[in-house]
Amino acid sequence: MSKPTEDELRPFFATIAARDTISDEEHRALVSAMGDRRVIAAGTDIAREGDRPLVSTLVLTGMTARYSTVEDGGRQITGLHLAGDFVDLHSFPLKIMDHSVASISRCTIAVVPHAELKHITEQFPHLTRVLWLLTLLEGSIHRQWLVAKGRLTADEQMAHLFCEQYVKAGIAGLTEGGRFALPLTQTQLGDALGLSIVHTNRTLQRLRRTHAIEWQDGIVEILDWDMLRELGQFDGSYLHLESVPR
Amino acid sequence: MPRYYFDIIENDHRSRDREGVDLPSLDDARREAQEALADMAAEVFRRSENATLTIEIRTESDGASVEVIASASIRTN
Repeated sequence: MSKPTEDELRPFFATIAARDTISDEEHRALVSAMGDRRVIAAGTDIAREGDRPLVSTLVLTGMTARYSTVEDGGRQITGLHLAGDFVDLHSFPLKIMDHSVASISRCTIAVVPHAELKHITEQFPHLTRVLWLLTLLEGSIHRQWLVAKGRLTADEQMAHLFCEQYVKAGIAGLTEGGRFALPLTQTQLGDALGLSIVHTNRTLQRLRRTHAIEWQDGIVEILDWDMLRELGQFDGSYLHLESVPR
Repeated sequence: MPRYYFDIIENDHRSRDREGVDLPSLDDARREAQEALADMAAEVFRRSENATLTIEIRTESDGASVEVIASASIRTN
């Protein structure tokens, strides 16, 4: 058991820095709020629907998914989180989990006790607004997923998701020359898009044929960003990449 | 798990599935094909006035289809 290092927290601070500037004192307050880091295997539930968590989870490495299941066993992934993302910051004010969170790949996570978050809200009003912003961003991403699912074709929706994951990875400093990790299986990709396995498979084949992306062994390579963005009708303004005082 | 290949035939155009999907049984493959047909029909029929859509399942990447699972068509006027 140990606390996360500054290096492991770099993606987290990068996602904040893309939207606001925090003081050294606020930076230190976030670092000291961190509890122990943990390594978890792929496919592990981090929080389950109905839980009353006393900690929120920050992803340090790997990818996690927020999901809900329905009666016939079907699963809908409603959010994907990568290094630097808080997966359940909202569980602090909401108290009871209304969905589950599981690791997609092997992950390193840091748990942040709700008592520490409470302390931040009482002592650091600006930092509180920054944390509020992070939960609002989750909401804007959900809205965009809803629009994509409701109004785009499967081809467009898939291209949109690849665009979003690429931009998010870039903000967190996790891209390398147009390449980034997306350790999803095709079934999980289908669960995120709300598509059947066969339709997901076909849509992915069509997307590959455009030569806009390549996706192999969990690594995506963006070959033609302009084409991908156009295919997905992607406009990143909902990610609010403007560093302004919040 | 056996691998199943799902060819999608939209009007006269066949998209051959070259990658396939691993599934426990032909029954599961049938279910997947049915679900996929429902998904895709919603898209195809929205943009075309006349269309037919069929899914054929193969068990070998270059083999003949073992089953025509589903077919749907729409024709206006």
